[in-house]
Amino acid sequence: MQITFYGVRGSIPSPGPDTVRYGGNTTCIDVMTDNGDRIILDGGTGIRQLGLDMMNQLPVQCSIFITHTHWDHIQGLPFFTPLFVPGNKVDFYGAFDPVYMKDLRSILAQQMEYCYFPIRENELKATLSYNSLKEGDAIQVGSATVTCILLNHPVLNFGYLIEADGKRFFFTGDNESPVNIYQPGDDDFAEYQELIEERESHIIDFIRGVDCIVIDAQYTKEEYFASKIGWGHGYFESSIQLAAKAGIPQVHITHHDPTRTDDQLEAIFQQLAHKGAIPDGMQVHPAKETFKIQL
Amino acid sequence: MSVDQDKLERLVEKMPTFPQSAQRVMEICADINYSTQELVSVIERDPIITLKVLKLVNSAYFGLSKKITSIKHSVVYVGSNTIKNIAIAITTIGILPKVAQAGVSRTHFLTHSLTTAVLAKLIGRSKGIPENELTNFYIAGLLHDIGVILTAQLVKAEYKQAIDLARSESLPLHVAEQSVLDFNHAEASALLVEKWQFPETLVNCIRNHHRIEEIESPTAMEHSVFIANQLSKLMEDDADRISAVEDIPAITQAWLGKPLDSIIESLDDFSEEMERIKAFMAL
Repeated sequence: MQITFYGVRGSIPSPGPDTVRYGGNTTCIDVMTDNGDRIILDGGTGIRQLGLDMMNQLPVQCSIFITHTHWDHIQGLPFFTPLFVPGNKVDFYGAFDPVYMKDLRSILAQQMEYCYFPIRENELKATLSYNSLKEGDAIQVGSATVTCILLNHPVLNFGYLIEADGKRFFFTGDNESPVNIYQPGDDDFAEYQELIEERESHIIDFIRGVDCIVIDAQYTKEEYFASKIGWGHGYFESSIQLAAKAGIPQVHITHHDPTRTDDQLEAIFQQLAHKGAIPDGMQVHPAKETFKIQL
Repeated sequence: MSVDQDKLERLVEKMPTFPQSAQRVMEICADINYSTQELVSVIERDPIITLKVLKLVNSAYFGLSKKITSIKHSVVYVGSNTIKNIAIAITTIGILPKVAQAGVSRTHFLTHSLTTAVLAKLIGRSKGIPENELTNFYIAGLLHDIGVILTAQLVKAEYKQAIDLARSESLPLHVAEQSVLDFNHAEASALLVEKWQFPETLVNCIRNHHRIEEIESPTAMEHSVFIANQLSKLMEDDADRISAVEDIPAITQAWLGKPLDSIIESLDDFSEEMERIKAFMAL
C-alpha cells in the first residue's frame, strides 16, 4: 500500500514562502493498493494536483471517501479534472447530514451551483455514484476494505480504516478527543468521564495496532487550552497519546494550522521530542505534501 | 352563542406552560459562546426534547453503530454542535400542540404554523431586521394561530360551524369565528402567550394579526407575520384551506415596498428550510 499526501493544511489553503516545505493545500490523501486500487481520502485543494497526476493514465477509476463536508475537505473537487472526462468512474462515500437532512450528493453539488462555479454537477462527464455511509459500514474497493467510525468534530466526521495487502492504515479526518464539560467535584463529572472513556476505548479498539495513522492535531497544547476547546481538533500531545494507547508505531500529524510556518512546525516537533512527549519506538512526523508512505 | 371569557381563561390556565427549556434552547443556540454544560442541562430537564433528540440520534439518518442512551452520551458521541443544531429544530416544532380538533387537521395546522414562522423570519431578515430579533418573528409566526386549537377545544361544535362557514363563504376564519362565536382565535392565542410571559411586542403581534389596519403604527414583526400568514394560506391547496386569504393593507404594502408575488422568489432559503422542517416534523 502506498500513501501520498497531497494536502496537509487545515481550515484554509495557506500558500507562501513560509509554508512551502510542508505545503499549503488542504486535506487530500491518495492511497494506492499493491493491485492498483485507488482510494482518495478527502477532496481539499490538494486533490487538484492529484487529479492532474491521474490524467496520465486514462480511464480513471477511483473511490473518494469524504471524512466530512467542511470546506477544507471538499473545496478541491470542482478542480478534480478526472470528473470532467467521459469514461472515468468516480464513487463518492460519506455521511448523510442529519441536521440539514441532505445527502452527500446534495452537499457536493451545492458547491458547484451557478453562483459558486461555472459548471454544474450534472454537467460532469465522468460516471459518478454517491453513497451515504452508516457507521461501521465496510466498503470493498478492489482488494481493499474501507471501514468507517464516527469521530468528534462539529459536524459528523468519519475516520476511515483501510485494510489491504496485509496492512492497515487509518485516517482520522478532523477529530478532537471530547473534554469533560463538568469540573471535578460536580455531580455529573464522573458519569460524563465514564462516557468519554467508553467512547475512547471504542475508538482505540477500532484502530488498535494499525501500521500507520494520519491524525489531526492542529494546535499546541497551550493554544488548545487557551481558546480552542470545542473547535473539533486535537493538540499534538493528545493525538500522540491516542496513537500510543492504540499501539500504533507510525504517526503522521496533519491539519496544520494555516498560521503555522514551516519553521514553527519543525520547532514544535523538536520540543515534543526534547520533552519526551514521543513514546519510545514510535515514529512521529508532521505530514508533508508529496511525502509517500510505503506500507 | 359566544365564548365564555371566564371559561376561556380557565382553559388557558389548564394549557401546558410554554417550556422554558424551549426558550432557553433558542437563546443558547443564538449565542456563539454557548456553554455545552448548560445546553445539556436544559435539554435533560425537558423529557420531550430529550426523547426526540435521542430518537433522531438513534435513527437511520445518523446511522450510528451504538445505541445512544442519554443526552450526555449523545454529546460525547456526535458532538455538542450537532446536538445544538438538532435541538433548535426539535424545540421550535415541539411547541405546537399535537391534537386535532373540530375539523382542524393536525398536519394542516402544523404546516400552516411552520410555514408562517419561516416566512415571517425570512421577510424580517429581507427587511434588515437583526438576527437576534428574528427569533421572536419566528415564534410569533409559529404561535399566531395556537388559539384556534384552544378555542376549538373549548367549543367544539360551534367551532366546526365557524370553519364550515369560513369554507362555504370563503371568509377569513376570524370573520367566521366572530360571526358564530363573537370571538376570534387571535385573542385566544394572545391570552396563551401572555400567560407564557412572552415579550409584550410578541403578544401584541399575535393579538393584532387580523386587525393590522386598526393599529396606528404596526411594528415590523406585525407586518412580517401578517404577510407571512397570507402567503402561507396562498400556498395551501384550495381544498385544504380553511381560512380565506386577506388583502394586504396599504400600510403593510408600503412597509414591504415590493409586490407580494415577488417575495417567495426572493426568499432563497424557503424551500430548503421547509424540507428540513418536514423531516423534523416526522419525529
